[in-house]
Amino acid sequence: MIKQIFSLASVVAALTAGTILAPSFELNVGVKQSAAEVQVKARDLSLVCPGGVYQSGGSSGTKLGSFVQIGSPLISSAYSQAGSTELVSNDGVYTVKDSTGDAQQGSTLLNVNQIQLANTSTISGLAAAACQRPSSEMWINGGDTTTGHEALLILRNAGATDATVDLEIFSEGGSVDAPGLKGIAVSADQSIVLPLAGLIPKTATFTTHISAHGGAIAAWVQQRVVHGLAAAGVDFISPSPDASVDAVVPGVFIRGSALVTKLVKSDASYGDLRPTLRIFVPGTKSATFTAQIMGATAETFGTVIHEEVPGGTVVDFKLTGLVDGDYVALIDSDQPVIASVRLSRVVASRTPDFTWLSAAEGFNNARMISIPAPGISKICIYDKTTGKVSVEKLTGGSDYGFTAGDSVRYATVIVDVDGAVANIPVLDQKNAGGKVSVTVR
Amino acid sequence: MSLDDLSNNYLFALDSLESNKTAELSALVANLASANGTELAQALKLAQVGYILVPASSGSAVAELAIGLNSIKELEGVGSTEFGQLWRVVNPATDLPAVDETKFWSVTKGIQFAVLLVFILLALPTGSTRKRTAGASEIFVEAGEE
Repeated sequence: MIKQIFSLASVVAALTAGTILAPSFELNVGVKQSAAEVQVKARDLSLVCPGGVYQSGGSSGTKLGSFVQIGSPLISSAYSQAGSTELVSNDGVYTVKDSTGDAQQGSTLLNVNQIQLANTSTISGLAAAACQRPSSEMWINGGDTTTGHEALLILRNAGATDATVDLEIFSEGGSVDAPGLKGIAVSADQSIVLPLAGLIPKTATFTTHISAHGGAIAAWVQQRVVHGLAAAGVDFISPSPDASVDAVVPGVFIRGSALVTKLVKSDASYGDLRPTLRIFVPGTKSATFTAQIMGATAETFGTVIHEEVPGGTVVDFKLTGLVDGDYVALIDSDQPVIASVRLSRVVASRTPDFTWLSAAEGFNNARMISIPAPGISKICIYDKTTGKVSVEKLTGGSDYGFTAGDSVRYATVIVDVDGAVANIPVLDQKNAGGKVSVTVR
Repeated sequence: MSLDDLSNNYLFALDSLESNKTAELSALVANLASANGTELAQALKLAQVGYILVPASSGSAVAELAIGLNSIKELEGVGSTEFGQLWRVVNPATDLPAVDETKFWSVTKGIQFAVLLVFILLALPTGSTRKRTAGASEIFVEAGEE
């Protein structure tokens, strides 16, 4: 009996040990197909411009819900005429027709931007924008709908299929729940203008997330400011790059800081002329960030902000104590954030103006940007590898090129026309193409 | 989960697919994903594609793909289903070739036949079992006689 029990225990122990200690193996029957690389022609590169600035109230300025474009922007573009390509433009839409698909897409093939100096009783200032490759999703980190501030969301569908747009708006309190955020129809080859005050009234700080379905769209926020009865600046706020843990905002050129201080002392409503850093945290976790506002020279010392922003919210931080000079905002965060800087320009000869600087894309490839002919244009470049900030005055009407290199650079062009300011981001827009991996399964 | 994860037959069939057909299908998929304006009607007919399903998923890549498919004139949107977004080919192939039924043997049939053969062989009575059965019967008869 004991012998039988012992035998049984031995067999059970051997089976258990075999089950636990036996090496795992995988048996494949048949052959799994591997991905094949297919060379495919990319969709033709098309860049869409916003056109002239929008005036609320129609041409008379008194018609509710009516928006008309006033004036014509100055378009600056560079097209390389590569291979058998052909540039076609129609109503602010620039398309490179490439029958063979051989041309390498990007800013070296085509880049387009526009500037417009508005000087009416209700709109005053310089508005500039890089013309966009339409896409399905974008974040615009800027805007203000408090008294005296107007934010218009411009949605342009330059494609042949109708698009439906859903909006998500985040304020200091988190996601905003308002009727009319979902299912906004933008017909093919049409633009629509939405006054954001109708969705988030009297909100100083917000970020807009735009998702398009059905067709791709281009989007901007046109921000306009009025102090009392005087127009005090206009700008197109462009979409930001993806959220990042190390965002860089080049081109923080502080001018007329003494004049701003004087104006704020006389009237607190001029407080929005102070440079402001806006941080949005798209995730659910709080982000602790350090923003170093670094000067380009030894004379411009800069400042440092170390703060925490709850997830899903957006917060503005005043950049105080900055003397006139050229700066770059370097944001280092433990969670991905979207950063932008509002920059004002105050001169004695005209009403104030401002521009919203989005964080720049880091790049090490060859890029090109067209420089507008009027005014003074300067490019601000931050080299991540060397940590150096360089500012260069550019020749109006020329094209500025970056060669491919090892170092990652961030760059923005600041344009000043008669004391009004605007910015043009250095982008490299292209459609998916080239080699596509396809698995037949 | 795709068909090749579920069916070994399909996996073997894929392996035996002619390489030029795989290349044609890959090129069609790449052109659909790129939405580059290439004429696709003939390729869709040759591949006998009637519907295209993009599995339900969030993310900008899927949204971009959906926008690209919407811009292809050979497709029309059906809408969202529980499995994802669906597109219908506008002029699909109608003269589909009949399924080739001439192949009598397949790997599965071969394995099934082999298993059946083993069971038949095991079930065949052998000389020794007959002898043992006869002996047992005699013992049983003797026990009954007592």
